Amino acid sequence: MSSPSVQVVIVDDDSSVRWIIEQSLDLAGISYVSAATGAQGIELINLHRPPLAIVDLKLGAMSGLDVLRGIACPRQTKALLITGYASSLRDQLKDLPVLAVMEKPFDIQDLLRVVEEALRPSA
Amino acid sequence: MYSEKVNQLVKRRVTEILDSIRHGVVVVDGKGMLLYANKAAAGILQKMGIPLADKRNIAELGLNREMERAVQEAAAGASFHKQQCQVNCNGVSMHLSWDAVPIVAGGRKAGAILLVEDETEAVAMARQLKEWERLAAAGEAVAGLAHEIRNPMAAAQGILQLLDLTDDNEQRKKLMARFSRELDRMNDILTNYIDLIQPPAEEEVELIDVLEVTKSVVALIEGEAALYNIGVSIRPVQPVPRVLGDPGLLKQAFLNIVKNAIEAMTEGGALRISMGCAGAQAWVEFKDNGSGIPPEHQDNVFRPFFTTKVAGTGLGLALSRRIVRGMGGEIKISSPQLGTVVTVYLPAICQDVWR
Repeated sequence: MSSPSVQVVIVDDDSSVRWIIEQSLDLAGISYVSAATGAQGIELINLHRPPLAIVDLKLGAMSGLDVLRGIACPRQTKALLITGYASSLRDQLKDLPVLAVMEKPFDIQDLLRVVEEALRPSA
Repeated sequence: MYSEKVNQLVKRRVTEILDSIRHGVVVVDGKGMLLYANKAAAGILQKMGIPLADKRNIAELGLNREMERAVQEAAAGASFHKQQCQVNCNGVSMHLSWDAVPIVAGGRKAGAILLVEDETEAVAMARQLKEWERLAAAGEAVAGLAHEIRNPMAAAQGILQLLDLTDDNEQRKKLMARFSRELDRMNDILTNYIDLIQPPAEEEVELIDVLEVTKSVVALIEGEAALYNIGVSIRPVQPVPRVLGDPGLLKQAFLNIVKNAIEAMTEGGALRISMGCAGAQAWVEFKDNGSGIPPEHQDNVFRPFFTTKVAGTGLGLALSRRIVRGMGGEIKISSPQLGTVVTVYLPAICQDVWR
């Protein structure tokens, strides 16, 4: 079954954004692994089956939505999407396990609120 | 008697046909005397502020001079096809397209026909379309810019919040340094963007040895190429192509192309650069055997902010094309199956002059 040690998988092709999310999760004592590409992200999500994945919408060749479609166990892993612009995104999220969409730049307190909500046992 | 009736019938039928078409038809004899004008011609002339009723000769119409002369020359046997002109009458600007052709009857010159079409609306519509395309492209570029710049912004905002949470001086110093880096990155993104949309302020135009520029670019990336096990070769030619422009800009244009090639071959490969002159055109070809460009992306590679790379800005090739076009040249890209071929064409400077 899923590895209990990884609570969040971060998927973002931008090292600065990955870094700031990692710092925020460190602050809250939340365990994570990070991926810089969509393919690597899918691999890590399907390996660790975390309760939450934080996924950038624009990932070079692959989109964040492609990553969500590649999740083998969508019941187990919910997603927090982050994006530089969220125009007309809502329509595309149907049937995908998306918990929230946050626009960059985001407040790290807001980010942590969503993450902790997702990780709460009853969630 | 009978034949006159037939003649009248034919004449009426021809007049009806000519009055039904949207092209203006004006017929003159060999001396420029007006023989006939259909409804559309009268309509166009009226728009131009020329009442047809009392005019007898084409010269009295006060047409645009070029058109008037063409009709006279057509009566003498010359032909003018698909001519365009813009006329300003009564404060209204009209775009006309016209033909002037001779009439030959019984093997003899018998005058000329002027065919005029009012294309004012079509021209206005084409302009509007171009404006919409321009706005759409600008919107797309701004969306790309927003996405690029919000990454370092997200980091910068987070750093400010982290600074608020820590009293450790060492940690604060590290965060401040990182903050400064993120600001630099935002600046770099904007600088690249501005380079793309604005002509360089002070361009130094000089005679460029294309081989020298290529060698200096290869020297810059040799380390990275070796890291990925990529062989880079330049096939020198005689005479070496020379072009006019800013060598710094051309170097930048080549560097972006070469970097792309290397990034497409991270599993190793070969980049072969060749060059030459074909008449007044110099060409430089960059051929790699990397991952190539999928057909669905080939139309997009020059679009600003288009990228499929993990750390790409999508500005490299767009900038290269801008530089090359600024020098009066063009870039072509093809990715037949394996690998990619990028060819830069530039106006060549004739060797003999400089040797």
